[in-house]
Amino acid sequence: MKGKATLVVAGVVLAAISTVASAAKPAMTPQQRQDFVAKAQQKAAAMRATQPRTESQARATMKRTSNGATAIRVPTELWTTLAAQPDAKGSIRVIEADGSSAPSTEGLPNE
Amino acid sequence: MNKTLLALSVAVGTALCGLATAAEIVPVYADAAGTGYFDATAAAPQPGNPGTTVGQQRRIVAEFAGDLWGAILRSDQPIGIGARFTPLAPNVLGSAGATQVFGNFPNAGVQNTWYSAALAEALSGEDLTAGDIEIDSNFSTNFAFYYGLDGTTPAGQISLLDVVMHEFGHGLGFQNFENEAAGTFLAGFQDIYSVYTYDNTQGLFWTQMTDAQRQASALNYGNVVFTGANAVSSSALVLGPRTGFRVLSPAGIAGEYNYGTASFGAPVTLTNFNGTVVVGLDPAIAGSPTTTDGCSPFTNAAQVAGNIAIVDRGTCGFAVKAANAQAAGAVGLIVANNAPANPPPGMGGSDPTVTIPAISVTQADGALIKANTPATVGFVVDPTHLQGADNAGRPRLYMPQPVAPGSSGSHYDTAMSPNALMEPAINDSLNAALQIDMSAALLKDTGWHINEGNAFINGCDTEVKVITPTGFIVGANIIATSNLTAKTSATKTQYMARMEAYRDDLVARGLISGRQGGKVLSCAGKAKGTFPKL
Repeated sequence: MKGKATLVVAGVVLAAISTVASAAKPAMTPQQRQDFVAKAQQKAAAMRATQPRTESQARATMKRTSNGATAIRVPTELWTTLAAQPDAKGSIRVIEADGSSAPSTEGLPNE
Repeated sequence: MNKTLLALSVAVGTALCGLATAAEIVPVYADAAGTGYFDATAAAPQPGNPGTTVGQQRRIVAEFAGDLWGAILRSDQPIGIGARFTPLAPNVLGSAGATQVFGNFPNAGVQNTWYSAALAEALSGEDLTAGDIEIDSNFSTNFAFYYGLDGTTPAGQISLLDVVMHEFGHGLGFQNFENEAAGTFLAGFQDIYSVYTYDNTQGLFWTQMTDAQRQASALNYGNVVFTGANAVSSSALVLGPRTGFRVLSPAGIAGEYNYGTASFGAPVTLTNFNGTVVVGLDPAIAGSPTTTDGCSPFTNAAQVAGNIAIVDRGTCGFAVKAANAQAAGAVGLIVANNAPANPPPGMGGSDPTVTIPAISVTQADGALIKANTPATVGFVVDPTHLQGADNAGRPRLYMPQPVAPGSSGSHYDTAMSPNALMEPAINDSLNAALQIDMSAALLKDTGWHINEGNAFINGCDTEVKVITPTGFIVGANIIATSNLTAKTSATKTQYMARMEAYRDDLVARGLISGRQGGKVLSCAGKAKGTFPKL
């Protein structure tokens, strides 16, 4: 009986936690959001200018943070790209199970 | 402590670890005035997107995508996403990635393992980047994107929302941090995505392999899968039955083969690509020295007529080969690649007079089929397996040969049907405003906490799930739409009118019930304060 009661309490607590988590509003006020963007914009320009392109360049950015974590900047060569292929009939037709749907500097091969 | 109390404390502790607010995902624009996200060119409002300039419509799309992902994922740390429009290579829509990765941070699930910055911050509850953006993204200025938010992308256009959702997905953690060309992990450390990347041929996870084994695995098209339990269970709900190109006879080569499709001719169907394969022969002439390239009128039309012709790639365009095959009476065409690569190439080119379906196969498979003609082939459905998953139901990852840097491994396979948001290429059958298939499930496997409860707007429960196990995100759409509508309505009356029209549309399309529609509107009515919301 005691076990059942405990399980009921557990269920209620978990349900409440779940509801609170889902119901939680964004943490930032509009002003905080504007401040966040302004600060990020200032730093982003410098960050973008120094984002490593290759892994060897990235290795130079590896560091240990104050909380003991390890960090490294991601080389842009590891970023992903997304491609599309408009066909001759005007619709976007990305070829299923084909070899050219990977991003490329060319369209589908014609021959 | 008794076992029940222990279980309770563990359950509560686990829940508290996941107790975070909806993630706040904030685009941080990097374009100069008058360009990209600030392009002042006048534009007519699009469905769901009330912007009146190109730049404004682009910003609305980016913020809507941020709100969608933000509603789905939980994090106490705001996620800044650098965003700009810039010329990219032809056919490339966008690119993105995490700016930094972290390992061994507080609450890291797996030690000595890289996590994307956004995920690491969500798990640790700390601003690990110290105010830097967690993700950076670039979108092409070369495309005429569709800026509507309703998923009705016109033919010939691509939904910017789909592209942004895809790229943001990568930045959030749908990517590995491995150099597939070399088989090496970034700075020698595995990443959490690769923890679940498994090669069926080698019988090893990527984290168990040597660099050389990973290098080989990255080329093992069709045989590398993602094993996370959530992605697997979601795949079973989302993916359709396996449909494949199969050689039916002779028995010695019977089985399924990878194939590529064409941008000309009739799309391949179960009913229009069945029959006997015959090698198409043409004269050896100057500039076209082989007799199997299909570049001239066929010399064996009598044998080809009514059958499926197979020819080799090379010398002339794919559409030329198809036209010659059709003129000889072929009912279909197979083009065998003339170089080793996998998957088989998609075939470009156009000829509106071509009406027969055409596919491509690899060089090796083509040689096998040609050596065994007449072979019987067809497209068949296997209801016991999933299209784009292995026989165990695990979703396939895209591992083309040759390697596609930055793309190999970090996408679902293009073989999936229906198309998935996180395939390496995108098309107009997607609608990321309402459906993101197994994308969030994979992120959950990597450690993200997902908002699986109901969508709340104005602090009120709409009774609509933020996301369902099949990846429908109607609840997230309601949150994002309410945010957008509040920001672009001059008065509460206008906000309510637009939310009512939106509600009516959701109900009419069967996306929510009448009761849920009532809740959406009553929750909208709880909006307080001045309009428009900032």
